[in-house]
Amino acid sequence: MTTLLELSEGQTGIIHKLNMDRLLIQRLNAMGIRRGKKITVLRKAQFKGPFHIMIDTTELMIREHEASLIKITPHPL
Amino acid sequence: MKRIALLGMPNTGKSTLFNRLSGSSARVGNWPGITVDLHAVKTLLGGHMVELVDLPGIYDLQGLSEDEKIVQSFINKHRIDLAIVVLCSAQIERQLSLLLQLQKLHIPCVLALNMHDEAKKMGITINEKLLAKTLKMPVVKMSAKYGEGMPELLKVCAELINQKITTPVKKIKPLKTSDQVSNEKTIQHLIKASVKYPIQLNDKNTKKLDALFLDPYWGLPIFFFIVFSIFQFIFTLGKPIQDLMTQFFNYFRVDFLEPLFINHHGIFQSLLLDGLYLGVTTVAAFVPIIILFFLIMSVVEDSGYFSRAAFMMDALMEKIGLDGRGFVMMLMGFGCNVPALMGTKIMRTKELRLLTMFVIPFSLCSARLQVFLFIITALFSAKYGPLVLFCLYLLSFFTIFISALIFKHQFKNKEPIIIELPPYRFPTMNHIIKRSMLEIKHFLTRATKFIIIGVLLVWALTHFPADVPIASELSYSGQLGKWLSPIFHPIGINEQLVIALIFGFIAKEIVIGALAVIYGVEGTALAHHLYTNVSQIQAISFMIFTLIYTPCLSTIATLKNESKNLSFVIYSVSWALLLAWVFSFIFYQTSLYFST
Repeated sequence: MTTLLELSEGQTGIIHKLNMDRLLIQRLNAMGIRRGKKITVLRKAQFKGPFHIMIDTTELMIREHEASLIKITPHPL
Repeated sequence: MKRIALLGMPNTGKSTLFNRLSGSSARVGNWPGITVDLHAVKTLLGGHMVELVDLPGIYDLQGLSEDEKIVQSFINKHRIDLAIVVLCSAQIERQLSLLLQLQKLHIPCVLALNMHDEAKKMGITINEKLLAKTLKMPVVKMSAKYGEGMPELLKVCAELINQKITTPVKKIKPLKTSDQVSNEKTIQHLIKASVKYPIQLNDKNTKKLDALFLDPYWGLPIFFFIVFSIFQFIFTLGKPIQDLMTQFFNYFRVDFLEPLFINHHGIFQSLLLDGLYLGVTTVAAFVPIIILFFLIMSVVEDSGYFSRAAFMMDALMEKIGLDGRGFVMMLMGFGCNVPALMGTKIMRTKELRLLTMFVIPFSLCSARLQVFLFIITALFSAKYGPLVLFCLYLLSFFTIFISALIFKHQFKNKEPIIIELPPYRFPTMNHIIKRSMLEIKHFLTRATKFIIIGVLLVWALTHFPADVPIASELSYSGQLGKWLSPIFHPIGINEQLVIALIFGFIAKEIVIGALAVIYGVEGTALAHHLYTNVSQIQAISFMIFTLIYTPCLSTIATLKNESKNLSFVIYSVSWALLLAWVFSFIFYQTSLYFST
């Protein structure tokens, strides 16, 4: 199992666990980041900047710190 | 009067819907216990007057963000008779959770499936009748932008608002994990039954535009080009309008007001013209810039480009405790600090917003540029002048970065920075214009009193005692200058220049005019006078101080309005004064040391 941080551009994974406190989980859930969801890294910003991710129809930018808290399993192709 | 609240997640077109429902009569309302401005309007619905309130966009009823707390306390403290819950149709799956949480509180809800056109384009179909039946509430497919579905929405709202409420509204309680799980299940069930997704979800246009705007090599040059163009547009268009207004105000004063008060006592005439009238015109001078700024910024925000800019600049700004959105506002500050400060509204986390507002006043705005250009042309050769100005710009950036670095722990951001990158959308003219009008109304109602009081204060300092020449050494301002000289002497700023700085507190535009009054000469004669009486080192020290100490009364008034926190304003102004003195001191003393 890896974290979102380790996915490279264009790769997809399945969210396995959100490794953070309950309130933060609730917030991420509301933005569409939920357990079992398919998550794709569309691109990463220059200079170790944020990730551009896609879940269903929602696209978000997320910083490396938060990305490191999202545990994922590889997407079965 | 019955009250209807608009609720929904960010980027769902909630304010567009509010603008449609409110016409042009929206105002900024105050509610006890609510610390921010909410837009509200009284309107006729179903034969009764109702109050319509636009609550901030939130992701979750439970959260601890600034906006979430506002909505929570609004729901807990003020009665809501009906909630219009606005969803972005294409994102219905993740947005239903907010609706379910509201329904649990027994607030009567109407579900507005907004941006219905977008979902249709993406091939998503929603069976709203089935959804309404399962949710037990009216569901309206609509597009606030194009006005589709508005009559239906109004109709169901009118019906619901006239019904008697049977169950009282509950207070918000923390969600239990079991509630959350059951909500999840309900959503899954609802979506499965009433929403059909296409196999491949794709907004091709957004993908294509992102490939261009977020390109690793071209993204940043395009960003700077866009910011530069916006800048050019606002200030090349705004400047002549401002100049025209200044001219008009002058004519009005000379041809109309002065003859009108000619028979009045000197001090009374001066109070009206140099005090009150100057105050009013100072406020008015900001109107065109603020309107233009928000016309353009609404386009940038509504189109979806703003969050892309934030994405690209985030890496750099994260290091100094800010985010990408702050960078855009900071750049705008180089035109005028006031709208840039107002624009930080888009940042919904308090600490981040305060830190951004803390550094924006150090941006070298166009008003300060005018002062510098006059002094530089008067004292420096064409060879060194541009270099001096360039160094002042560098200093401005340096001050911003150093202040952010020093204070980033004080305004520590506790929220995760996760920003939605919504699909690119065409902004609508109607919404853009209404937004600008609301902003200008807001500025005028909140800042006018403050600015006029400040102007009157400076007027009193420079015009009293009544029997001495205006702004002379014998006036209160001159006495203050003398009294402050132990502080200003070590940075090479003499008493006359201190008086100019006191004037500069109102607005930098009047500093040169103040120098003319103080020295009793104008234009080229003033330039010559400065050349012979002020050394280059003194002039640079004066400019460093002018750059940093405080932009103008309007900026301070805006800081106060936007932060709603007087101690923050005092803190910010004190830091600026201290920093101005320290930088001027370092420069002046080292230069003196090396030049002797």
